[in-house]
Amino acid sequence: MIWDQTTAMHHAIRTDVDEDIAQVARFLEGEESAFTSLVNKYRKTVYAIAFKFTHNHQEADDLTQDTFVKAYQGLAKFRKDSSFKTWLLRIATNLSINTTKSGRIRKDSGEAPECDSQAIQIRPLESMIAFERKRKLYQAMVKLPPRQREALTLKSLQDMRCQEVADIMECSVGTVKANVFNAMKNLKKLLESESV
Amino acid sequence: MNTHDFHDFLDHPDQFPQDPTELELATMLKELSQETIPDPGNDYWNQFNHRLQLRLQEPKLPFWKQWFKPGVIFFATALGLVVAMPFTLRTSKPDRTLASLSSDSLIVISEMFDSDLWDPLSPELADSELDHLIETTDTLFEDSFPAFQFFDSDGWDEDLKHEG
Repeated sequence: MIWDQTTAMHHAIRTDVDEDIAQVARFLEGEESAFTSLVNKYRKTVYAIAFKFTHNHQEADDLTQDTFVKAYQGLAKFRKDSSFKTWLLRIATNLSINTTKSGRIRKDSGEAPECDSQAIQIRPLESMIAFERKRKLYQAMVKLPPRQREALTLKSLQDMRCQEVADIMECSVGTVKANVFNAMKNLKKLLESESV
Repeated sequence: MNTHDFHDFLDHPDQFPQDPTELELATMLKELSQETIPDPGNDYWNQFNHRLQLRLQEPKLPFWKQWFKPGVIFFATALGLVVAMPFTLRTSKPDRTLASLSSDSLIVISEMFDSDLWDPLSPELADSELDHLIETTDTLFEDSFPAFQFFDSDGWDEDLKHEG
């Protein structure tokens, strides 16, 4: 039963990869709409990665735009060593890391819909405690070593498997797991030291 | 702490580790994974595609033209100044122009050169004053430099006679 599920999942991924490669080929032959299809397919994932790194709508918006501009300009050099999705998410991750490294992230949240505002209105105290805990978690994440932070941020994206994270980071699955584990240990230490 | 349980959890997020410490880490990771990414909505995405199209239509500048962007020019100039500054400081000599002198020094110099002492040298000098000046200097030189006596014309003649 599990084997069937795994096989079905691998088959779906393979089909997805083949579809992307076909779209890339069509774009390289001059069909601009093929690129728009790829943008529509991955824009939310790219935005999610950018938002995970920056926690700022305006920065995430800029980074998503920059990612697709870079992909558009560099698609001719795409060698198909990895899937288009991995290649695209690698661009998004590298741009996000560079932005966070430069320390130029704006403090305002732009026009982002405040995901917790509704919850705060319904259950003010509980939501505020949860909000405060999340805020501390994100602040602690910024202090992690870059590779640990990268692995943790990508792994904590929904549906992101260790193999995908390893492909984006260009390392082994074992390295990803070790980085995530060490990141969580460090995160726990940082939170404990702050609460003391 | 057995990390294999945590590593297995990374592959199968529904299988939580048994170890309490690992369980705590896994719970924290789960909490991070459940973070809601705000969806900006369809209007935003339509606008996003429109903006992206505009950016993609912008012609890409050739490499050499990228150097003429204002930011690049400013950065290159600033870098050039920073690099050149130590050399400039090392090679520059003390400023000895009038501008570098203090106001007191300027007053002293001004008084010296504007003083009446220097007036006799001017072409507008009165004749009587010039005669007086020549007399004074002649006396002065005769008193001050006995060597003038050596050049007495009679003395020269006597010497020449002896040699002859």
